[in-house]
Amino acid sequence: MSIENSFQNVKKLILPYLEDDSLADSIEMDSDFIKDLKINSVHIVDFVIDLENAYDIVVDDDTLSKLSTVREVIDILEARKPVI
Amino acid sequence: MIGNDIVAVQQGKSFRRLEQYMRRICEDSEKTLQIDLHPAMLLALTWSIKEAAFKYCRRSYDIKFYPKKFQISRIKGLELLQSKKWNRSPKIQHRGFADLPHLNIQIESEFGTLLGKTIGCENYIHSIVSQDKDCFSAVHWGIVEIGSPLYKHQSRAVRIHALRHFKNFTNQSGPEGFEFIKNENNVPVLYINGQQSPLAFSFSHHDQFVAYAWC
Repeated sequence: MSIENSFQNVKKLILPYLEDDSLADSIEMDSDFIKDLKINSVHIVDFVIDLENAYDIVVDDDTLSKLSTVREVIDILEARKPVI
Repeated sequence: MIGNDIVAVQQGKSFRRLEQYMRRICEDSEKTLQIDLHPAMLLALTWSIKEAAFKYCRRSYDIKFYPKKFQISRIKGLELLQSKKWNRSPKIQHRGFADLPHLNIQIESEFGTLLGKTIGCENYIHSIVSQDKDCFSAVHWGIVEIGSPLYKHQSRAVRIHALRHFKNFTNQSGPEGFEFIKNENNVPVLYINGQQSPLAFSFSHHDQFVAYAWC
């Protein structure tokens, strides 16, 4: 799966937590969940739980504590891919 | 200085989901939370206390909210959560906690021991945290049900209600000259006619509820 595919999939997981549909078009790799997308702290945890369930992964506490941008989520997904 | 937070009790969430949440926000060592409480209420209680603690510490430190950094070491008055004594009014304005059933909280963090007061009902939990135990008798606070979960409505409503309460208390009137501006740590600061007020304000909102506190 390409980074673009991962980005699109992550975007779909973010959408339920946007208060305004118009913000969907503003989601970019460097979007900050709180500052740019106005997602509150409760919904960031919601999103991470959705991510874990969708990809059958566990986001460790240290990673979650530093998670700020969409790019960092893509990095998590990329890091789990086996190196060929 | 104070920090506050309000959390709507999400009765509709599945138990599995609530369990996943609790794993994310509590250390195993927080045994004080092993209590007979509906998981949605327990989640709201825990989150409210921890985010209020974060908001207090954020005034002095450039930190990001991570619930496990704040560990609840003591909760007194838990029986209130199962009682019918809590205020259910959609609008509350108060000063201090002396005449109101509330929980007394203690939180440990890398920034030291913090103290908290929590009130609520089956719909929401609201906490105020400080390191100064004397501030709790002087703190002004309020909760309003606004009927909209949208950020732009919450953000506007909490400012309007906080300012209204502040003006009533200080016998000031008129819309001019009052403005809240967030500082570099995202903390709201009141400016009156361009002059920064020394009062510490804290705003919070979740779903249809907004809450404020100042002292």
